[in-house]
Amino acid sequence: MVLGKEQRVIVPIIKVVGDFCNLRCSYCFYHGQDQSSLHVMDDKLLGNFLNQYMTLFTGKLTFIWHGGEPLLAGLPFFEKIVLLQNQFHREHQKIRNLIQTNGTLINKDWALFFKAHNFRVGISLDGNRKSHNRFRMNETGAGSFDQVIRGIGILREYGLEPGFIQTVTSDNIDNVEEDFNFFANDLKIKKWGINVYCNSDGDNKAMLNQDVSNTEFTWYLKEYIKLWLDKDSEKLLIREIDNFFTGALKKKPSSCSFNGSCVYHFCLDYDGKIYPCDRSSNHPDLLLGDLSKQTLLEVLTGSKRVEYINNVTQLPSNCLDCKWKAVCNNGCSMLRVGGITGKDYYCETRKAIFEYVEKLIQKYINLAERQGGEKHERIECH
Amino acid sequence: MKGLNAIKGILERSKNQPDVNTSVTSSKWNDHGDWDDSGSWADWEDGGEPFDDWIDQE
Repeated sequence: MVLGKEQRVIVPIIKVVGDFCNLRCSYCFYHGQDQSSLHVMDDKLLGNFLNQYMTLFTGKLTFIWHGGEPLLAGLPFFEKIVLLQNQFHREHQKIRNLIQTNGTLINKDWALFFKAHNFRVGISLDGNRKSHNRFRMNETGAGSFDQVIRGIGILREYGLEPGFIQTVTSDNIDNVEEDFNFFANDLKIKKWGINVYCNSDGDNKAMLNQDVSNTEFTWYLKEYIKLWLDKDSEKLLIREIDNFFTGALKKKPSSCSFNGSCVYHFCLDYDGKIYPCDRSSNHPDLLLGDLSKQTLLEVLTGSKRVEYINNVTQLPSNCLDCKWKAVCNNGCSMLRVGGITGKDYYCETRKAIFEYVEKLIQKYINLAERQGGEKHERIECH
Repeated sequence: MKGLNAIKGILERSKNQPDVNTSVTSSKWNDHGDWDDSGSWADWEDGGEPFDDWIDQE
């Protein structure tokens, strides 16, 4: 079922400038695409999309503005977005805007805009200077660390605290402690997520031998959990740790790559083409439709999307008797071996970390009970 | 045992999460690097009207 009774909002990820970017990060999904040509979504398409989307959906609407580097669309473009959202706003709609940026172009004007319109900002930062500059470079090959740190400083100057995404590769995996300390102690970041590099297609020649193996990623996450426990802060949120703990507690994890909400997203590219996700936006075989030729409703209810949903949600046979099935959902569809119907590349890691975390929780419960502390009667472990 | 506060924090937060078998259609966090932590996730998920107009159109 594509749009059943339980269906509410399908979240759009909008690539306002296509693949265009001022950086040339070696591991980028769009590495090998044309990242040098400026394409900005035209006003007509933007207005058409927002009008249709805000007519189709009601309630709490999330817009994820993405790239390439979305700030390259320019501030007037984003001012137009806010204007159009206000124009098409209907009763009972609440809007939240999220933007993911590399942070290098942030200045006072952007900070004031984000503040004024309550945009939540996500920044890509791989860790300390050494880890970040390894693969996040500009066109001349120079690392972007200083520019990003400068951008973060400007946001904070205006009272904005961004979230962060760190990408882990084989080359920076040994820098785990330094990177954790950099985030938690030096930058005093309260929340970040970990993306892991895996190019199962092997089509990115700039990242040969950079895939993180299951053994490496399992080790890495365990190290992270130990560092997180050592830090011992109730307020420190690391997306992956949060997902594993929540899942081990038989609660619904928050991330799309754990909770099965992957199919409730779509990606609108600058030219009107619609894909399931920004990660799949350069995969012609996963193209769902084209807003310049079809209505949004036609695309979202179309046969291509039905086929995609069926393929993504049909779990491989080895998932069926896995105790973590309901809190794993076979991971990110773009990290599956052999395509979206395959098994999650990090299946082994996920099982190992769920088991590890489950034992930690049990240890905590036992200790709390022994100490006569707060009872956690509602906590149930697998 | 180190990390009691960290685990306590995550246990508290998990109370606001839906049970594992709850059908969800959105993510408080997603893997695109963006997230929102205003209000509880459950509060966000429960908002809005069911999209009845779209029922069984296929």
